[in-house]
Amino acid sequence: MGFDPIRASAQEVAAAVARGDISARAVTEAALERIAQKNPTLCAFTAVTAERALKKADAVDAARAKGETLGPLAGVTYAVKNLFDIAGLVTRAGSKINRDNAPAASDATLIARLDAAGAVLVGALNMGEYAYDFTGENCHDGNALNPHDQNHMAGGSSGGSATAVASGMVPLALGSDTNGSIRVPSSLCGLFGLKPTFGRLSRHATFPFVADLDHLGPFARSVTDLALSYDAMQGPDAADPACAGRIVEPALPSLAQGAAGLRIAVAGDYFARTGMPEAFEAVARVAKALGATREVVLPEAARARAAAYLITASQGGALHLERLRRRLHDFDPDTRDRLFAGALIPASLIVKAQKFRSWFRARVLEIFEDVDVIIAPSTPCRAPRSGQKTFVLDGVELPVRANLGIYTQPISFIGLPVCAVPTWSESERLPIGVQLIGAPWREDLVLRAGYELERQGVVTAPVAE
Amino acid sequence: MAHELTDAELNAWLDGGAPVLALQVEPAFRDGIIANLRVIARLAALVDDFAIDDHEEPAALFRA
Repeated sequence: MGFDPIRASAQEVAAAVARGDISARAVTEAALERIAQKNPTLCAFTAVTAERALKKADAVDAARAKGETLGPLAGVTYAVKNLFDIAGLVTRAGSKINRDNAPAASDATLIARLDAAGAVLVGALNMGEYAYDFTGENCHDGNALNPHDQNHMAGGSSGGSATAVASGMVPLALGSDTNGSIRVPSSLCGLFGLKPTFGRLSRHATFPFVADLDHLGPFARSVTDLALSYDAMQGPDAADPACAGRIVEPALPSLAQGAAGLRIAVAGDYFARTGMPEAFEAVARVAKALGATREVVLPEAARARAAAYLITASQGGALHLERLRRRLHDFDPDTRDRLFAGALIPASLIVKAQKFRSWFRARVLEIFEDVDVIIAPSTPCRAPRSGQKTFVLDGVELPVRANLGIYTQPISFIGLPVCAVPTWSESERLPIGVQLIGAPWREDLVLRAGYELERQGVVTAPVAE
Repeated sequence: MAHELTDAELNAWLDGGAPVLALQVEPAFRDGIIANLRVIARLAALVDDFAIDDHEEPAALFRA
């Protein structure tokens, strides 16, 4: 049986291309064919960059023919949430309004870095409008659907990113995560996702949402692929004021150490209530596999979520104020009303929220003095049905769009790195994710814990058939 | 704001704040905005109720 580039991991594709078992062009053509076959139903891509992709693939093949050293992602196809600048395309950020902008003159920094590693960009991906979303639904471009059951949502706001990877259109995609927009769709679509430490990866030439909460990161079907792409994207970038000036700290070399020596605990209190039983069963399975018996409490996590919510609404409202004045009818209605209300939040409350943020960060960093990884649910439930507006949590009916991220918001609020891992139950066709949370700048440790779970077979990310 | 806002208070918040920002309140959008303000008020009360030290630095701090 020949090499199957659709179901292979990014690492396997790069190795096969480097060996000459398959050409980068053949890999790219297979991806383009898969996209053509699956995308009309699943609504993952909003633009396919076929010409660019084939040109890049041919360049990889030519480099190999000349005996040049290939990059670690040579011939690996990938795609990006449509808030990343792609040279020659308009960066729509899930909106109708931004389609009036001029095409991007150049690529976002992370695209340039993946391209330098030999990866092949095949297009831009659907997303919730202006990233203010946990559903993956978009009234302009259609709803990104869950490939494991198309009656259910993909999760958002990086919905197209998750749909594309889970359906085998690409092995790797980039998304953004302000309050959970990588971790929520990873959970709903059964994928591995990495939200790095705030400031780790450059956000240059991506459309913003909340300046001091926006993160970028990868989705993949293995922890190794997360590490491979993450390592290729690291490094300082003066063009992003929030990007830390840290040197590249590769995570891939230490993956095989697994959980050896790691001090791992389960998040209690806020993170052990409100959700459906499946969220806590998933945490229990992961905790058992990692030998975690200790519980820690992140104090005032409900207030942390509330403060993140206020800062997000306020900064989002401020960012879009002029568009709310001039283009009110061109917004997705679900986004419009949230941004409008957010613009009206008094500044005094935002200052209090930012002061509370400092307090919360200090308390959580104390916990990390004797813990390396904290386990918590990614979402309170499996994927809701597509179009579902509300769900009942703890006996209270709540909007899905704002509440799928109740467990992710307190964590990104203080910029902690998270490896999101997918779990499955035998009787269920839909997955649910778990967050492996680390101290700032310790992406290596959360990825090691994820790798250990993958090695044990406790977490897995199969292509949806 | 450390209390549940009434419908009248929420509407006053909207009608008072929108003109300050030169935002038009379209009647068809009012209910959706009010629903969001209600959530914001509930979460704002959680933040507002927390006793924070006067010397705590806001997280988003400008550095020259």
